[in-house]
Amino acid sequence: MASETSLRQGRKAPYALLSPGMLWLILFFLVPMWTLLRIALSEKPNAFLPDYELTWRWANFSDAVDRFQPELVRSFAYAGIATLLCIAIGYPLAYFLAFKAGRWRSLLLGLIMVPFFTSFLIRTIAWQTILGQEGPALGLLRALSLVSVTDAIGLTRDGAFLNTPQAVVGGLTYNFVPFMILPIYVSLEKIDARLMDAAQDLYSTPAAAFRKIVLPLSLPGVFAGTLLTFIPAAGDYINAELLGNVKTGMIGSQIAKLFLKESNYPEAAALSFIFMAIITAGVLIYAKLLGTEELAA
Amino acid sequence: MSERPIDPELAAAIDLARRLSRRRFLTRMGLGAGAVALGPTLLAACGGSSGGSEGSGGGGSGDTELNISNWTAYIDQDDDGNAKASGTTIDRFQEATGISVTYKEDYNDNDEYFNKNFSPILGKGKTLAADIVCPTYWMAARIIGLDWVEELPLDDIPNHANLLDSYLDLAWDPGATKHMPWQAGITGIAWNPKLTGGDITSIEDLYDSKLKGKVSFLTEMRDSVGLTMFGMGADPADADLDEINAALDKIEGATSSGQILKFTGNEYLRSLENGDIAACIAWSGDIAQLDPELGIQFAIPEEGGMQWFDTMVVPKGAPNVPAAAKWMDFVYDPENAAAITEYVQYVSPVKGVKEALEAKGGDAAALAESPLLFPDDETLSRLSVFGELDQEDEIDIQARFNDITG
Repeated sequence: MASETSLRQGRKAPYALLSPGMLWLILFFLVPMWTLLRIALSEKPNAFLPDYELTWRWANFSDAVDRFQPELVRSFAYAGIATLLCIAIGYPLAYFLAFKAGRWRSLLLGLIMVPFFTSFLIRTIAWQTILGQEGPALGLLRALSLVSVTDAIGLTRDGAFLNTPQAVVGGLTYNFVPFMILPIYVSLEKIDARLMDAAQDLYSTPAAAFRKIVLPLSLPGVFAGTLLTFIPAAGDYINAELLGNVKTGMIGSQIAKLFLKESNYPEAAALSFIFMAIITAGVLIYAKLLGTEELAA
Repeated sequence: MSERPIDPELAAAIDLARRLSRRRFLTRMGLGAGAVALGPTLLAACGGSSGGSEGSGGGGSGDTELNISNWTAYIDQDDDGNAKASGTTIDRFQEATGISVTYKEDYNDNDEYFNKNFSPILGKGKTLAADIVCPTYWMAARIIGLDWVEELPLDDIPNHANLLDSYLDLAWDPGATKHMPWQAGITGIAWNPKLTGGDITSIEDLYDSKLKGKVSFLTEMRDSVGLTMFGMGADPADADLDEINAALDKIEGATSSGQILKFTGNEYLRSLENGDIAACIAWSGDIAQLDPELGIQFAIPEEGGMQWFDTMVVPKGAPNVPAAAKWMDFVYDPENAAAITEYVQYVSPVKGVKEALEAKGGDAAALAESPLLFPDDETLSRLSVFGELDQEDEIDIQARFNDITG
């Protein structure tokens, strides 16, 4: 009898437990989204006054795309390259940590995290010093007389690291690479090492074992890492502002400028929406392609 | 004053850097040394902007409290960055009047303050938490035009008479009855002689292909466009639309050709110090604070330089108008104004500051000789304040400038 009552109560318990989260979502996601959408379809009769009128002005969206197409393309291109670099750097590192690091594992994981205890901003400003004309990076290149080589392969531009697109992508990669390493590490670490022994027993080469066993099992980690890297990187503008030049502006700073400099709330809201829509669509397509059913569903 | 980056954390970090450079300067001048209290500074700079409350319309009559919102590092402080420490201007004001002052350094950017505070709060008929705010002249003109400020009770501000005459015939506030200037400064060009290989005396030098990719401009539209207009033989005081657009064309061309590397706020100081840029448009007070050993030079270009000033205005419905009047009167006393000048090193709009500094002797008297703090008549004749723009024009120009700055 007692167990039946608790079962019946148990049917409502999940909702009770969910309610703080649901309330949070409604208050801090749905309500702001709704407000933003209203503003995106509004007009501001007088730019200097706070009032706006909902006039269903869909042209705000096309205006925003027309004006900020280069920045939209650039944001996704930079974020995409940075994400690929993060995978290229993060996957081998996570593999090493999961399978080869042995007793050094905790220490090495800690070392990956330590720089990220300081502020995002301070780290990026530090790169200004490291990459600057008087900084150690160029100093080393000059000492080795390699500046012409790095110029030729496009790593530097006219003998400068700083204020180039390369520096922006580099900054994005550096700032987001832990968000790639950790999910991949977690998915690799869960893999039963005996699976590889089994593959070997069945005359599989190590490369084939990696391709057929480790890689598929680690894909959820890569997927999660990609989301955690790509989305914030596409919206980031600190790296572009501090490490880039006048031709590396990303979408975040354009939205801020529209809001804060031009008082053009409707177009800023429309641009935010377009940005979110593209990211959402991109994530869904990516989930389908990578075949992680639980995420794609 | 100078433009700040949009991101609050970034603004805080740059304020911090500014404070550090000021510290270095003070130490060198022998005016002060000691530990820097970074924590409180950063926290204060990260603090939120002043909120609004329901207003009753019309200024209040409080004279026991005073709330001031100002730019950061814009008043004398002790070595720990405490603007209310014993002997500072605020402390002496509190002693003299019994008014309790709340001084916030939360005015980071004109447009940002406008879109976060002036427009959404004053524009809805509510009142700001501040009794005095310090917008730059063009922003002051804008909010005076929108009728969002209180008329100053000039009878209670006898030291209003000490305001330099040049501020009395501004088209947007004749007789300065709705604002009083706080500090003024000059926008000119700065360069690193080690990288330029010579002096930069003309605005056209910034457009010289020898400096390609080594030049930065300011995100403050009036400074970058104004100086370019001077270089093209126009006077920015006229704010002629065709001339402004011609200047924008020129800046756009220099941007797409790679001549101008980037547009910045205060960050240009770092780039200049690090050698990543060779020459730039710069603010006089900033360069005065740099370490002389770096050899960074500043000049008002031969074609002309931009003059700007920040103001004190009383937002509509402010609760403590009499206290605000007492403050304005206090800081327009030449002795008190000199104490502020000695610390912030900007151009004072108050008559008699030079004499007051000379009377102090020592380092203060040396400042009285500085041509950037007390420009002579020849220099003043080369300076212009950017003319007033219609609202529609201002928005169009700002939008075009924003597109160019990327």
